[in-house]
Amino acid sequence: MLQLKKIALLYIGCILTWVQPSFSQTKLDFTFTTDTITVQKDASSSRVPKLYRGQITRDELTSATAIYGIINSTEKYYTITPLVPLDVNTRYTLFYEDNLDYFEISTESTPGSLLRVESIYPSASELPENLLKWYIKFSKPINDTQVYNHIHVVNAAGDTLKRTILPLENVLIDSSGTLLTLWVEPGRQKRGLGPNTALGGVFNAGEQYSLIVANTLKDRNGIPINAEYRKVFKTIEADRIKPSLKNWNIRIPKAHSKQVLQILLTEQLDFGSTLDRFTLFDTDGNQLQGVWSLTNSETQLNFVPAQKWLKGGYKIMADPRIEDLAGNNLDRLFDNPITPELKQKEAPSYHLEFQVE
Amino acid sequence: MKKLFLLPTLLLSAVVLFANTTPLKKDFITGNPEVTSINAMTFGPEGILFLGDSKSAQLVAIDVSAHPEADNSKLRINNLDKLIADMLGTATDQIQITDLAVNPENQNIYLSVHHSSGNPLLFRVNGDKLSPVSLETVSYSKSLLTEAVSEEAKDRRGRKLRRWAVADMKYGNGKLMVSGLSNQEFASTFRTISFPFSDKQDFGSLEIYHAAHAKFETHAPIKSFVASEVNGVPHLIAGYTCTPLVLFPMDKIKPGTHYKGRTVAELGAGNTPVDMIEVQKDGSRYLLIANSNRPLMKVTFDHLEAFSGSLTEPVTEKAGVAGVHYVNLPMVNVQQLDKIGDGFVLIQRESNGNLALKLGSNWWL
Repeated sequence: MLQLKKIALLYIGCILTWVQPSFSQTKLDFTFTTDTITVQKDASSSRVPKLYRGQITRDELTSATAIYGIINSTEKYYTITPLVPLDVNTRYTLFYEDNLDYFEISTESTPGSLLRVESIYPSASELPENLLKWYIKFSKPINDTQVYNHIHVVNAAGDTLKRTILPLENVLIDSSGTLLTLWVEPGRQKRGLGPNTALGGVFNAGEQYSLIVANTLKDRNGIPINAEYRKVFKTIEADRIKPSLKNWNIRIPKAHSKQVLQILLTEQLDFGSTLDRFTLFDTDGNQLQGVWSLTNSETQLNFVPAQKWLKGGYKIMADPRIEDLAGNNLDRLFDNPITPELKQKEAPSYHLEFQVE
Repeated sequence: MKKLFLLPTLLLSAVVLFANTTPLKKDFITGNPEVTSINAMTFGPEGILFLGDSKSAQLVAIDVSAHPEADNSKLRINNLDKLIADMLGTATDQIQITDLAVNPENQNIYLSVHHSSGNPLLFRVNGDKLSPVSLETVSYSKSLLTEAVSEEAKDRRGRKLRRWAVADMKYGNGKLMVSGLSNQEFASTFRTISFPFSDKQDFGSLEIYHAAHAKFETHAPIKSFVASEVNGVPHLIAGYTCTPLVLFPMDKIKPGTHYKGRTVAELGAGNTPVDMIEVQKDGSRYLLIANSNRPLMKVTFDHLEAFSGSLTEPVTEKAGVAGVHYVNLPMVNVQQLDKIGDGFVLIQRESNGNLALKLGSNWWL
């Protein structure tokens, strides 16, 4: 007989539920988790158990597709391991030796354990109308298979705008499954391209919009996000000026301290293309170890050194590919007019120098 | 005594290992390549299937030459998404078919599928059935996707931010060619990687002159491409979003260089080429282009080769077309496409909602 009818799974806050079949004469003896189903063997039979999604009736068995799983056999048990974990809140059917049985993994998640948006970049509430990217940081890995169905932009009247986010066949998400990059459709944001000519830019300066992550987005276990997420922002005029180190100011730390080196950028930089593209060297050319971060709506760059500062000169090297919110990098504008001068320029070195006393 | 038993075992293993080794597979090892995503697939020779794995930033070559030849001569699988979902015990909105590839040696068809759990899956088509291909123990070789600009001096913590999604891959002349898009810059980097894999990866920076884009340069990523000869010269035939078709001579794609291609066709705005293949019939070559928002297009190579111009003026008519002549085939919503034998195989969302895996008739060529 079934020994395990309800088991609390702490790591996803789920309850495993065995469902009493209405017509079966003999219940199957089995246990289950999201990953495996273990069935007690009938010693007199050589047949193997089959697993189906949904509540399958006896009549439907011949036409239903069984779930593919790796079946391990021991003296007393069969263990079925499906290729992917079973969905939550979904009925499954087990069929073995002419017996049908049903079970379900239902959620009883606590609010704190649900998927939520932790942060979004750019984080400011005023953004240039030629904004190019969003980065959304989630609290846990998301279901990224149909992600563009769950994210959209609305205007102040609440109308959903079409063709705002570039839908990629392969979603840009980090290896942890929690940091999602969205491109605001570049063909509309780049002047002169077909979509831009036909439809104009995605945003108009002076208007209010909301980026919405719908409450239909789920985490990898199939559990929906805690609530709809809404990032309200107002657009200002387009940014068509390259970021310039000449406009940046350094707050120099004191020698023999581990004070934070602060660089006031005077404009918002792009989260994804910035953090890993600064390096700091001493006068001997040794690279300093430490942690870079962006704060104050991505207008301030910070470096926390691993070691105390020593007296002497330092040089901050900036990668030319560092971008502002409109995709303008240190070298060139995102939609640069073609000029002969541009082709002849050599890439300069972008750096800032300071002296620790 | 243990050594006495071990030695014959080792010798036997060595014989088995070397029995299947060819120059292309000399670096292959048996084990788990730890594939965490399959964004794109393409076949090389000798049953070598290349997998583009963006999540692990790697390209993986696996040997599937030992797979038995399937009879797909009457292929048609209806409700393909439902079949895959049922096999996995999940729902259709939890899966995404990421690519389709055909082994040119035996016409076996492979599908890559992404599941919401993050698990990448590979299936081999066998008539009206799908057989899962385990990636836990395979003969493989792999290469990490390195940065176009050296990042060795960079802060290691920040590097985790960088992702690079493979858009398309093709193999030819001993090289794997890869296009894609990063989450950091809208760049046109095109990679060529020697195979067998070495540490060296070449990056070319490609620019196009968009016919609907007269005033501003474009460094857009290539969405889909074919490597083939145009007038006897090896070329990259590249398709971009909304939807210029651009030629680049292969010898102009060099590390660290920047080259502007020749736009030979405008296939209409508001559209993205999702797959592109070359097929032949009766000695003629054809380019087939599957699109996100247009029917399957056929471009005859004779027309492509005869077109010597370059589109430099904007197409003023909305969604207008220009350049090389092409034909719209009566097949819409083609989501995946590859060559099989003398014809082609496709995944199509039919007008009644059915997602079908089926053979395309080369009667249309």
